[in-house]
Amino acid sequence: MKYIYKLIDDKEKADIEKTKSISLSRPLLEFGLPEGLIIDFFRDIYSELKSAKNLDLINPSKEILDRITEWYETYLDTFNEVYNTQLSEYEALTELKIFICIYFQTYCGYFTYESLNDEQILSEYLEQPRFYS
Amino acid sequence: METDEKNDRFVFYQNNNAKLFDKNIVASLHKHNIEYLDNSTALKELFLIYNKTRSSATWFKYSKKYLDQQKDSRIIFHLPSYKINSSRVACDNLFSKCYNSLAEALFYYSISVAKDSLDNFPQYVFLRISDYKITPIG
Repeated sequence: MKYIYKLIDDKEKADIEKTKSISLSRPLLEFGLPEGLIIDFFRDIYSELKSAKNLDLINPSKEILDRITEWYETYLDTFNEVYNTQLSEYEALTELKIFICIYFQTYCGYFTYESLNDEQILSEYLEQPRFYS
Repeated sequence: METDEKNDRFVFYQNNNAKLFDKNIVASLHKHNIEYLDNSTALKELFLIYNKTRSSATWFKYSKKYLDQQKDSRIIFHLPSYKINSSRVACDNLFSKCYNSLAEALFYYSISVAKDSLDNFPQYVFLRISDYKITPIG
């Protein structure tokens, strides 16, 4: 059964056959849409970090703060709804810190021979049927 | 675990304990069939699912309905630390600012986590396919 998909080329295919191992990578660094439904905010953080020449000079834009606010308010609403409670700001920060760490520490595997760096191919890849089994 | 720091490669070997890998690296590995949610699924529905299950796989095993013909499955590997006998669910905040809002605190904390992850974790991890009965495509 073939069940994992990741950007792969001939070199990586040969590497898999030689080493008998597969690689998993961070969803954060791969293609956005297939990896999950909440990635946008994390991608923004990663972009900020990559473009920063000096960490001390990083300042959040109003746009990103608005998106984070929407993100955590929605999250806390659901938490309070499921557990019938009201988290304090300190508890909320702790909860969301764990959430962020989990995301950054996770690796996923997806394999395809398609050249997903090409926007047109990526678009077709996402919309056309792919049956691997 | 084999490491090749020059190429940022880490190979993991399965241990009998589902959460432990060779040389006592604490991690967890799951295989999930992707579940395709309605295209209109909002963040709220996803957060509700997460808060009911408290499973971090939630962030990676759902996708949009219009992609359901892909019938994907995924391997999800959570690696709290690649150091021996070590596991953590948080890291230090690099910034010692006074924050004006929770959003600002989360922004700076996220930058700290991202930097910590990029500096201290491999970009790729490798799993031995014979250990996991994985068949490469092609």
